[in-house]
Amino acid sequence: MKVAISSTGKELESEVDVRFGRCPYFLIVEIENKEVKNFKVIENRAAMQFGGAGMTAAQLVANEKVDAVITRAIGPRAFSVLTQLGIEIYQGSGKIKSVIEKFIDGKLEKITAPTGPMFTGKNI
Amino acid sequence: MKIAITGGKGGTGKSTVATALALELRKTKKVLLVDADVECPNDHLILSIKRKKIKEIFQSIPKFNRKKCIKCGLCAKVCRENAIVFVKGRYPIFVPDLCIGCKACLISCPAKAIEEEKKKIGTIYFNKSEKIDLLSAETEIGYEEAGIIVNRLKEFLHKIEKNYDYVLVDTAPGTHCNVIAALKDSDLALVVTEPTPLGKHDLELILKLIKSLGIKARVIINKANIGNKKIIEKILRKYKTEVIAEIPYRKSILKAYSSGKQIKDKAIQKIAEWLRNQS
Repeated sequence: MKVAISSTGKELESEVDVRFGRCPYFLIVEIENKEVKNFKVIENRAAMQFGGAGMTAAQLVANEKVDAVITRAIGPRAFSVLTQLGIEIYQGSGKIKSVIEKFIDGKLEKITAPTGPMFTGKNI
Repeated sequence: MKIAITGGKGGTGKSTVATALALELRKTKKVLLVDADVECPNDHLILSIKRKKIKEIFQSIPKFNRKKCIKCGLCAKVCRENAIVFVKGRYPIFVPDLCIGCKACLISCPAKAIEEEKKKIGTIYFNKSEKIDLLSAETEIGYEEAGIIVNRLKEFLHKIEKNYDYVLVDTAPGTHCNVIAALKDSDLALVVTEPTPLGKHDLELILKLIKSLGIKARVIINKANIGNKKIIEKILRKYKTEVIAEIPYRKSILKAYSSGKQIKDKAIQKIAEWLRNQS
């Protein structure tokens, strides 16, 4: 399965970015047999967008055909778009490497409602 | 003559001056007051007028017909507001609150799978009375494009403005699209400011905007006896404008304002006199 993680950097050692829509990078991680098979980095071109960043970011990760998203905070629009696309959203924080391990072990909690209003990610 | 009353900073007294000036001019001339602060219209409160709804403002929004959709993604590509999300192999996802009704998706759809629907974005009010004629509009809560509402208000205004000697357009604070839309096509802008660092900063912003629109600007200093008038003199020189009246910070004015009534001051007569000499 494929998972997109909002990231502060380009490595598995990077931290999970608090924001979904306005994180600088997404790590697209491929998991097979409970192990990281490989990963790639995509730049989040929505990060500096005036409005609707969450939606553009959702479109970006959906086009990577991911099955799930891991982030800390997600706005109502991005939440709605990902849910409509059948992509599951999980909450994680800290080093991406250990967050993925937790995800594989089924220890991450699912986000079932938007974590904040629109534009909250804008000025963080 | 169409006169915009603006100020940059909020709370400088735009509506206070606009309502008082409208009533003063009304004594001898035909006057229309236009409340173009469509997010928070207040002039009817100051004038104790119960607004009469005359028109609802609608915006186009797309309605997607999945039976006709060929999942090409062109609608999302042409949408400048990012209101349509497209993921390969899926139907487009539409997020209504980001849509500004430009119809680009509707026009571009090669499968004709998008129909036009309407959503309410605001209301226009118009009152004609012995006291004053008041035209105003109010945006639906949550609708972000106030400039569009002001433009619709102005379209209505253009149909009736020839019936008046003076049209006073009370603008919102700031220098955003809604203020630009309100200032546009004015013969004169009266800039209400206060002699404070905040007033000064925003005065410069609004004078810069008015200049770029090619409109003549004159300044009214409100709360003139507080703060420091000297700090705004440099800006007045830079933008080649001058102060035509000063309104003092006085208990009787505050009392009228705080009880939601129009203010009375000889500065208002002075502005009216100055305007009469212009035409």
